[in-house]
Amino acid sequence: MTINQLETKATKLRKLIVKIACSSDCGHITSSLSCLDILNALYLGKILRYESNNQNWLERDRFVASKGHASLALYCVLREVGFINREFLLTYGKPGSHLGGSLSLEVPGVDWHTGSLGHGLSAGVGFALAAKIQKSDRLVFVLTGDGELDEGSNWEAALSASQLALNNLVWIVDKNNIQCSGSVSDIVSLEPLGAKLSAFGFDVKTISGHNYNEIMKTLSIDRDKLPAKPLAVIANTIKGNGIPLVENKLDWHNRKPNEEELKLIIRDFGITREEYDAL
Amino acid sequence: MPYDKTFYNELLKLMLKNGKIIFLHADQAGNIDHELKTHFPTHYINFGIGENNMIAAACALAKDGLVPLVCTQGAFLAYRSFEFIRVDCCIQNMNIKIIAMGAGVKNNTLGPTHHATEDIAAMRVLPNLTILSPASPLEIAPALDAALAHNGPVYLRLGKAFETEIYTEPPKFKIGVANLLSEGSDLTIIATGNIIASAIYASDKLSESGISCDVINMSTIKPLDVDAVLRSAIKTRNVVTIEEHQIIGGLGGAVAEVLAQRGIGAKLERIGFNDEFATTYGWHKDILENYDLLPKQIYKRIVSFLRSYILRREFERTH
Repeated sequence: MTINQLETKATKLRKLIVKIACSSDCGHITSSLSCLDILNALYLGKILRYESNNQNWLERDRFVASKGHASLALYCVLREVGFINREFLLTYGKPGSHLGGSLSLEVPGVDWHTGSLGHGLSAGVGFALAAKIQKSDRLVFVLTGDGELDEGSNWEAALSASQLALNNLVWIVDKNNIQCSGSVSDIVSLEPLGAKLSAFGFDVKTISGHNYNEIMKTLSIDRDKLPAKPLAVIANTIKGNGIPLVENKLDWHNRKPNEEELKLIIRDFGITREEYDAL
Repeated sequence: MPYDKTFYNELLKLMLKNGKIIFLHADQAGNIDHELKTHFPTHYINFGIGENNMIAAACALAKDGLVPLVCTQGAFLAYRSFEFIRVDCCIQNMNIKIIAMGAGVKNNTLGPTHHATEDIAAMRVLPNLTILSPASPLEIAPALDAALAHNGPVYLRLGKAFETEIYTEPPKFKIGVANLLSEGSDLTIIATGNIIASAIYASDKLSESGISCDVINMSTIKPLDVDAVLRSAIKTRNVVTIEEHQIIGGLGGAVAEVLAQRGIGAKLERIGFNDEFATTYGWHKDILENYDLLPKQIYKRIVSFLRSYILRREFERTH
């Protein structure tokens, strides 16, 4: 898929994320939008090795979305690549559905149940270690938030990744600078984040998490020529990316637009209400 | 042989047989560390003092088909790592075996931070988790075999050293099936872990006074052998539980739930730590003595329980 096609898909999925979140009153819109381009690149950009009709294929790359509250973005992408169908996706947040505010292992294509923060990187360590033991060239990608890094378990996992020389592990930080109650720098500052990750034994790269050229170039890893260290990618992102009304707004971590706000969002999407309803 | 040594000997045998077993510990392996590391450089890993990371990583290893045994003190696993056991292990129903050392106050001189006196209560509430608690060193190997044969998470509660052996050969072990050690008609004593030696002591002493006991080794805490509890309680109408653990939420709590729910009008005495931490120091027996849990003290408590019950029954009969 070309960069243009990926961008077109992202535009479509952004609308769908808003629609599903509003109609189900479930999910984190802005957290989903900050990492949507990364997820899009991983799956539609084919950075990950997978077969959507063979979800338990042992040699697939593993992906752990540690920031499980971005479940809606991942589910929309999983639908695009055929792990789940549209009918199932539209059960999101509905009574009895396994699709909801956290990622569930019950959903095809999901490798790890997340929602409680600070678990995913450790799972990534386990997956990467399993690949080493099983002498497989599969790669392991973990996506964490930045506020999530307040959890100490991330740093336990980072120590292990380095100690165990897990150079098949890629840790992507969706650095949108906002967490539940405000800005990351005001709550528990992570800076200098790059220096910290480097000190923990990772090669560190910093990219724009909304620039497909940079994402594809940085995450497309030659599995036959892995460097010595695990890789950490700090992806600078915008919380609520693509929706001017909510972009970088501190109070939009877990809220849905009211009717008036939704009208503005639909207008900014450049579509009619009818087109929105038909998404 | 001590629990920990017995366990590591068994582990060595199992790892030689089954290449899928991977042993992770949080810097707790002690003097067998070197031997295991030499034998299994890729399948024996000291994860360092980071239990939470170790649990989640072990669960991912399990998802990819390995069989992880994770080991450290029960006090750190059941409390510090409770949420990792709940989320990564139990919600996802991962096939990992959690080896919890230092049951009860076995880590005597290390103090209450190291005591596993609430671990059964913490673990018992978790769906999907099986809890095994072997009574003495000879029961470890069959319990470990059963844990490995079970496809799902298991919490295996082990002691440390100086345990009393109650068996002469390894007993049969089936998850969810209690082991009736002796049969009687007046009193049911249900115990778990090595403190069962006190139950046997009390039962022997009581027999000298003509009181006969069912002594039940409840070496599976979950799923509890409800039938064994009911069968015996209906017969004797007097039940005593003994555990090196809080009486709240542990074996005593589990038995109380069964008796109450099934409407069995049996009198129940729960012996263990009574809503208190063992904050005083000393060797294992010193701590037990301070909390009225030595064999002789347990015997006396059972006698007074029986007396009070017999007296009350007499009172009710005459009034």
